[in-house]
Amino acid sequence: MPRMIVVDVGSTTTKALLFEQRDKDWSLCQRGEAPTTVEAPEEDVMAGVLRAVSLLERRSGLSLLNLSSEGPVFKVDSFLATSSAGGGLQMVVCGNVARLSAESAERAALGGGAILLDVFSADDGLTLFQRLERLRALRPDMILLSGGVEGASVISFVVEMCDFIRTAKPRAKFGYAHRLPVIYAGASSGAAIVEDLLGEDFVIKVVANLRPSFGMENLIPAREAIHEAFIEHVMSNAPGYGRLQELTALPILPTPTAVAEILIKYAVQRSINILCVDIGGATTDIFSVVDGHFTRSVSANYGMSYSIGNVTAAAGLERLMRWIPDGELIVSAAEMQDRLGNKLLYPVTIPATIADLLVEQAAAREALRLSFEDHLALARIPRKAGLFEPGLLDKEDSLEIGMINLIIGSGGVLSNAPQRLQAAAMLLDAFQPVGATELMVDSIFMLPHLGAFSKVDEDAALEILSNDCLIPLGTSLSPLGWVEPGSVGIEITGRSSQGRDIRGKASGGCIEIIPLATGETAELSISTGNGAHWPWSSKLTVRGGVGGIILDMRGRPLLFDEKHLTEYEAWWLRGETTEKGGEGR
Amino acid sequence: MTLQERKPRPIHKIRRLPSPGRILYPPGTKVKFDTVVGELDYAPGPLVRLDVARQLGISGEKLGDTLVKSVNDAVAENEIIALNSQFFSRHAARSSTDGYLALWSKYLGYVYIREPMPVGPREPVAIRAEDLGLNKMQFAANIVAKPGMIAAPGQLLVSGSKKAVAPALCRVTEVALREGYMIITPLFQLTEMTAFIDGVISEIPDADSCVISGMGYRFTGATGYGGEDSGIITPVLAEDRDLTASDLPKELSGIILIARRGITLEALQRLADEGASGLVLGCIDQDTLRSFSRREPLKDLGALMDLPFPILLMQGFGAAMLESTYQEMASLTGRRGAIDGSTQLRAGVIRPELLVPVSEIPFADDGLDHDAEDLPLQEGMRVVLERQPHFGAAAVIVEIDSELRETSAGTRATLARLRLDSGEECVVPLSNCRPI
Repeated sequence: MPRMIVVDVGSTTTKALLFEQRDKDWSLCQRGEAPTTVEAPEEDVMAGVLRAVSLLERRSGLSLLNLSSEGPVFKVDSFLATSSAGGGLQMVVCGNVARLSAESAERAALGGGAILLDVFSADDGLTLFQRLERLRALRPDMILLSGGVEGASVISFVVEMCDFIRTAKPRAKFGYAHRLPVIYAGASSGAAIVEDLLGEDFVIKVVANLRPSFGMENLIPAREAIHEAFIEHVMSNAPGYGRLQELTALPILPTPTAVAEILIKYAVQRSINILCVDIGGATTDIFSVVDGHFTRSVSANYGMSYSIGNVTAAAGLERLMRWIPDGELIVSAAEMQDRLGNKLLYPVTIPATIADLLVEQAAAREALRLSFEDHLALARIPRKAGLFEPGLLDKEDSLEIGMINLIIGSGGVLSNAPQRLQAAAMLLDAFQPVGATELMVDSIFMLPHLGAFSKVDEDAALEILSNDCLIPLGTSLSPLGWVEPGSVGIEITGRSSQGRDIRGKASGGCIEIIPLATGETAELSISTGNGAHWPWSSKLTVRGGVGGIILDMRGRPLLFDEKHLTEYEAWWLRGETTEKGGEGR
Repeated sequence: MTLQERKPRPIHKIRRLPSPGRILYPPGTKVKFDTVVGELDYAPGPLVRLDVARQLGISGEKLGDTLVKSVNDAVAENEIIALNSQFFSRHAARSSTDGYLALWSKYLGYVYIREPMPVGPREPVAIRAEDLGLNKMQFAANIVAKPGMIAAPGQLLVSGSKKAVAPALCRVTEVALREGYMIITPLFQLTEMTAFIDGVISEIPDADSCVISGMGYRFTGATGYGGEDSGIITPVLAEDRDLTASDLPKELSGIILIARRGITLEALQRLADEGASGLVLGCIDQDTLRSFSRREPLKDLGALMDLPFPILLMQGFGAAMLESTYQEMASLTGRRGAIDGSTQLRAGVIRPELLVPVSEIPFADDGLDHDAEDLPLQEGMRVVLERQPHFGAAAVIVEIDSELRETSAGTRATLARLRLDSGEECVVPLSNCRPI
C-alpha cells in the first residue's frame, strides 16, 4: 500500500503525518508529535523528527523506520518536510522609500515565507546610529535589498546600507561560519556596487527589480531567490537539516510557503477567494488568495500567549471586555487584566474555567481583528488598467472583506475550541464578513503538510484537505446596514440537497442558526429589508457545516458599545451545540 | 521544603558587557558584589556622516588614498582625517566632532565618525515650547516624539525651524501637547560592569563576559521589571494584603523589601524617593504599576520598564506569594541579596531572580539538589497552580489521569487530582501545575 510521511518541523513541535492510499484514495492515517530539537542540548532536528516518526510507528503498528549504521531510512514511498524551526525564516529587508520599494520588499519576503526582523528605508525616521546598531544586533537568515526603479541611477541609500551591512556584519542565526545570503532586487544600476561591497563577506544573488516602475511590482523573482537561498544557505547550515534534506524527496519548504501552496491550489480548484488565519502564541499569520493573487502578512506582535500583552495594549481593555457576557460568568476589568497577564507569564497553561476560556476567546477576537488590519494594510490586488483609463500603468486594489468567499481558522484557540461554534463566533466577530461566507477550521494544522504533499500529488492533497483537514463550520449570511431590534432584516427560503425545505429569518441585532449539515448544500433565495441591504445575487447555493446557515443581523461594522456575545453565550449555555472541538492538549 | 531543609547550592551569574570591552580579572579571582569586573572600551554613540570626498573635490573611489586615519582610530574635533595633495595644492578634511572613525564609503565618499555616548544626567529634563521660541500650537504641530519612545542621541524630537533633538540616549516619558512641554529621561549607558554577587570568577567564556559563582539561594520569579541592584534582604509584610506606605520601615535606602502580596502606589513612590534597591512581591495591580512607571505591564517586561529599582513578582497577577517562599526569604533577613528584573518569555526564557549568596567558594555540585522545575510532574509532587481555579495555591498531586478529559470549560487536557494545602481537593489540567 503506497504510504507517505510528511513532517513539519515547527518552532516548538515537530509533527509527522502518515498518509496512505487505499483503493486509489489517499487519506490521513496517523499522526505523531515530538518537541523540536533544533536548540541545545540536542541541536539536531533529526532527533525530533525520528521521535515523531517513532510515535507514528507505535500508533499505526507499522514499521516505518529503519535505523542502520548508515543512518535512518524511512520505509515509505515518499518522505517530505517543511520547516519553521528556530523561529522560521527570518529576514531583514531594505528599500529606498517606505511606501514603495520597502513595502514591495516586505511583501516579497512575507510571501516567501519569512518573518521580518526589521524594515529599513531612507525615510524610516531612524538615525544612522540606530540603523547601524540594529544591524549589529539582528540575527537574520538573509537580507533582501531593493530600491530604485529601472533606469534610475544608483540609489545612495542602498549603497549606504551596503556599507553599514559590511561594517555591522550581522551574524547568521545558524552556523556562524557560513556567509549570509543577500538578495538584491533593486535598480539594475546598483547590482555591481552591491556585489563589490558585499561580495567578499556575503553570498550575493541578484534578481530582477521588484519595483521596476512606480506603478508595477514584480515579486516572483525575489520570492524564488528567497526560497533558493533558504534551501542552499539557511537550511543547509541549520543543525541536522543536512541529513533531513538528504532523506526528503523534494527540497524542504518553509512552512508558510507550504501553506500558500495548498491554499492557492484550493482557491483555484473551487474558483473562490480565501482568507486563512493561523493564530499562534507569539504571532498571527494571515494568508489571502484573491483572484489568484496571494498575500501573506505576519503580525509579529499579536498572539495568544507571548504576545497577549501586545494584544491587550493595542486593543485596550474596553474592547476586550465587550466580548465578556454579563451575568454569572462576570469577569471584572481588573480580573481580566490579571488573567491575561498570567496567560502571558504561563503560556502553556490551559483554560479550565469558563471565565478563563471567555477571556482567551476575547483576546483571540481582538488579536485576529488587529492582525487583519495589518493584512489589509499590506495586501494589494493587481488589476490591469482598462483600455480607456488614463495612464498606461497597471492598478492595484485594496483587499476588502467582501471579496472573501471562505475564511479558514487555524491555531490552538480556534482548532481546540471546546465547541466548534465558538470558533465560528471568533471568526465572525474578528473578520466581520459580509455577504455569503463559508467558515472552516483546520482540524490539526495540516495545511503545511498538504502543501508539501501537493508538490507530489496535487489532486490527492486537495482530496485530503477536503476530507480530513478542513472542518466546515457553516456559511454566514451577513447583509450590509443596520436594522432596529425586533425588525426582520433578512429572510431566507430554499431547499437543501437532501430535499428539506429551508426557511429562516433574523431580526436586527440577532444571530439565528438554520441547520444544514456538513456535506449538505442548499439553494436559497434571500430577501432583506428594514435597513438591511444585500447587493449580491439573491439566489445562491450555500454549504452546510456544524453551524449550518448563520444569519448574522448584527450590522456592519459591529457597534463598539454593544455586547455581542449574547447569542453565542446562549448557544453554548443552552447546550444547543453538541459538536465538540479539537483534541485538546 | 523549608530553607532549614534546603542546603545552599552553587549559584552562577553570567555577566556580559553590552559592547566590546575587557574582563579585568582572571578566573579564580574572588570578587565582592560591587567589584568592577569588566569595562567597555567606549560606549558607542551617534554616527556622524561627513562628505569628505566632496570637501576634497575627489571621487569616492579615491577616498581611501587620502585618509590619514584608519577604521577604529580615535579622532578629535577639527583633526585632519583626510588629505588630498595635488601639484601645489593641499586640501584637508577635518572631523567635525570627537569620536572614532567607524567606516568610510568608497562609492558615496562619506566618512562616518562615531561619537562616544553622552550619558547625561539621570534626572528627567523638560523641553518646553517657550524654550524653543514656539507657541503651544506650533509645538503640538511639530512634535515627532511619542510617549515611551526611546530616542538616540541627536534624534529629532521636535521638527521645524526651531527643532529639538535628544541630547543623550533617553526615553520620552511624557508629552503634554496642550500644556506645551515634553519630559525626557536620559538612560545611563554604563561603562563598568560589577560582579553583582559575592563569589569567584569561575569562567571567562569570551572577551566580553565572565561567570561569577558562589554558594547561596536562588528565588526565581514569574516576571520582573527594571534592571538589577543589590541590597539587604528586608521582609516587611507576611500578611496576604497590599503593602501600604504605613507598613514601610523608616530606613529604605539600600534594602530589598519582601512582601507577600502587592503594593500601593503611594508606597511605591516612597520607595523610589528614598532609594530602595529592590522589591519582591507576590503580585502587583497592573493599574498601580502603569501609574508608577507610565509603561505597559504586559508589554514592557524586564529592563524594557525603566524603574528606579527592580521589581520581582513571584506569582504574577492576582495571587499572593506562597507563605513558605516568604518564610524562606525571611530567614535570610539582613543578608545581602542581588535582584535582577530581567525577563524574557520566549527564545531562551529568562525569568527574574533574587540571589542570596552565603559563601563565596562554590562547592562541587553533587547533583542531588536539582531545581524542582526541571523534574517531570508525578504523583506525590508538590506544585503551585499557575491558572484559575485556585491560582497561586500550593498543592500535592494525588493522581494523574492517563486519558485526555474535559475540564469544566469544555477544554480537553490531561487532568490531575490535587490536594490543596487547605485540605480541599480539586481537578485541574496537569499543564497548569508547576513543581515547587
